[in-house]
Amino acid sequence: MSQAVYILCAITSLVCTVLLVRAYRQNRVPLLFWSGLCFLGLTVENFVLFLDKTVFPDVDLTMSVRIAALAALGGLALLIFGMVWKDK
Amino acid sequence: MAEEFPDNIRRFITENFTSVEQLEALLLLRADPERTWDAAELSQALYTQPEAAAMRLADLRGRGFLTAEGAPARYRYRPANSELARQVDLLADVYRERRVTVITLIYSRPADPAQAFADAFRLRKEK
Amino acid sequence: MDELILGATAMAFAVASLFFLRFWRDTGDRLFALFAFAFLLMSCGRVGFGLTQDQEEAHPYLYLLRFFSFSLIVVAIVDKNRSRPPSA
Repeated sequence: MSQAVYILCAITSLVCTVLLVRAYRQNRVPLLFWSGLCFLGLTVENFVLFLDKTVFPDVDLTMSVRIAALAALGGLALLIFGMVWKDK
Repeated sequence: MAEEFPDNIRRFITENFTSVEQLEALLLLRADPERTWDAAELSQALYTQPEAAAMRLADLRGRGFLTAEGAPARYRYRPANSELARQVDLLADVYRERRVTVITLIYSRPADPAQAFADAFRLRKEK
Repeated sequence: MDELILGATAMAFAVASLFFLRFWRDTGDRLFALFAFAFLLMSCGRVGFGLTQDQEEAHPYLYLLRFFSFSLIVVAIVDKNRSRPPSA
């Protein structure tokens, strides 16, 4: 069950990433760039957790969970940076 | 739209100009750097309201393109640094040669980054 | 270390949620309300995970919370594409 949740969340994040980056390439609004990176981080997080549960269930999961958590946190930090620097 | 448009010019335009009128105002002042303008004179030259012209001038000054002196203020084209001056020179060339592309770029720019974020999730592009 | 990352991530989701709330106020676009709610739930999920790290039995609920958060983002995207966009 957790695998299904992780892969669905990874796909959702990936869709958001693609849409935001696509829009950024068109209008160059920096907020979209940072948001895109945030969703990329969340995509990586969910995908790593998915791999952790399915492909390598026997490998010690501490490391991959930590990588996933840092990907999410890093992405969010960039998003907040983009939100704070958003100018009209 | 205009794929081969130089990236730095594209960025310079989207970061600094919210309307074509604002760009016209800047290029008008640039045409004669020695001349000073007040809002009333600019509004006559651009056929706009004096209040709108005053806003454009103040905004352009805030962005480092103009200096102001006296009260009520008279403005003069004097970029804050040579890099800014160079960018405006490039922009003036591009605007002369590819006016439609520049105007399209200014109008396609979302007024608000938040709105741009929301619009990014619209899958169908409105023509 | 892991608790530190979890706590920071919970806070980051909460801060991003508040920004989305502000964008909602600025633009009146429902998409931001749904994003704000989704990010708030993700923040709660991290807090829940931090509090129950040793209790495996609590985790299915947290998967559900994560699933629900990302569902809200899907709902937001679908909603964005169903409603007639204001003519630009």
